[in-house]
Amino acid sequence: MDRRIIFVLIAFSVAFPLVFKIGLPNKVTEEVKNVYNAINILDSGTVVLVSFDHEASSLPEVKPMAEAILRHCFSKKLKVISLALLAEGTVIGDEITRNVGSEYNREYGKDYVFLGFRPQYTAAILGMGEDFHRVFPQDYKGNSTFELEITKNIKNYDDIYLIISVADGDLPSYWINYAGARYHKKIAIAVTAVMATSYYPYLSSNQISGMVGGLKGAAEYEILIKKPGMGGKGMGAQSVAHAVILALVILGNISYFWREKKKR
Amino acid sequence: MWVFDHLQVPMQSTMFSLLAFFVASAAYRGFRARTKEATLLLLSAAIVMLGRVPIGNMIHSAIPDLSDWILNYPSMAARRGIIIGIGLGTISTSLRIILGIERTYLGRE
Repeated sequence: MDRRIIFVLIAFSVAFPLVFKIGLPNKVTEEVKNVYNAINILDSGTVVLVSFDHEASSLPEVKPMAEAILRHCFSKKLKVISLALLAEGTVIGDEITRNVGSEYNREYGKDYVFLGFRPQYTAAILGMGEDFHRVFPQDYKGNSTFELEITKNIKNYDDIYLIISVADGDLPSYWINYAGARYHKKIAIAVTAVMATSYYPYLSSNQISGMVGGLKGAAEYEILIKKPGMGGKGMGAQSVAHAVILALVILGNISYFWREKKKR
Repeated sequence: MWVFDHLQVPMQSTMFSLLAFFVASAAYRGFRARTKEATLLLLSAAIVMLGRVPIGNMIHSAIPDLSDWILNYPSMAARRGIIIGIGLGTISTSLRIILGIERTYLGRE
């Protein structure tokens, strides 16, 4: 089969459900429910740290997860400190935090803050466990963290209840190894579907509270917070695309075995 | 900021989105059930692909559960073995460097 036919099939299988808004019911998995519960039990005013550890290439998958989690945090009136440990996550993290924060009329500096990017993520994660202000003396806009209402009393991880890493690579494992193992912090992760399989061992050993995996994870989280978003909208397209790819694999195998039979 | 929002992000997203087409084409050409192991791999991939989208639950309610079982047990076990192996390798290489046994980083054999 000419590969251009395959390309056209995939293009239609993704575009058609998005244009005609095919909605499919989603089943919520245990690992996503655990992230939801980890945030839901927190009292208003509790500080959570959200780290945008991803690149622009995974934005379509990561943004729905980040938005759903932030919507949950802001609806619970939690204090959100967000930062980025990968350079590309900086602008994205700032934009997402501000947009979702303004949806809930949260005040910058009081209810949420974006601290910006720090290189050398191992040193940054370890440093925050010792002296938070030494790692982030200023936020992304240049305001002193000693003066901002949300960060002035943060000394180290003891003042942060939950760490959420939104990532597309192996950065969550550094949060788990350093912030989790050394400073005993509760960690939840939101990762792309490809990376999610790498974190099941940590889920199984309770080193992470829960995991939101890929666009499906985002769709499940949107069901839990009862706020539809891009996660749910994308599931129709993903479903049809997966079905088309499977059909192509089956077709490929049928043609392969048919040719083998004819050779004999 | 404008350059990042309007150039970097769209360009990187476009590059990544090309993967969908090439994966579909590669899957059509390469995923062949030639041996028993390849068949098992193909079946597992099919179950997980269907289980991770709503359409799997519509086909049969057992597919998402089976997909979760594959991810939580055999796949997790293999991944755990890899992580332990990496950890042990890291410890032994680090000890060799600290004790001066491994000196290739200095340009020596």
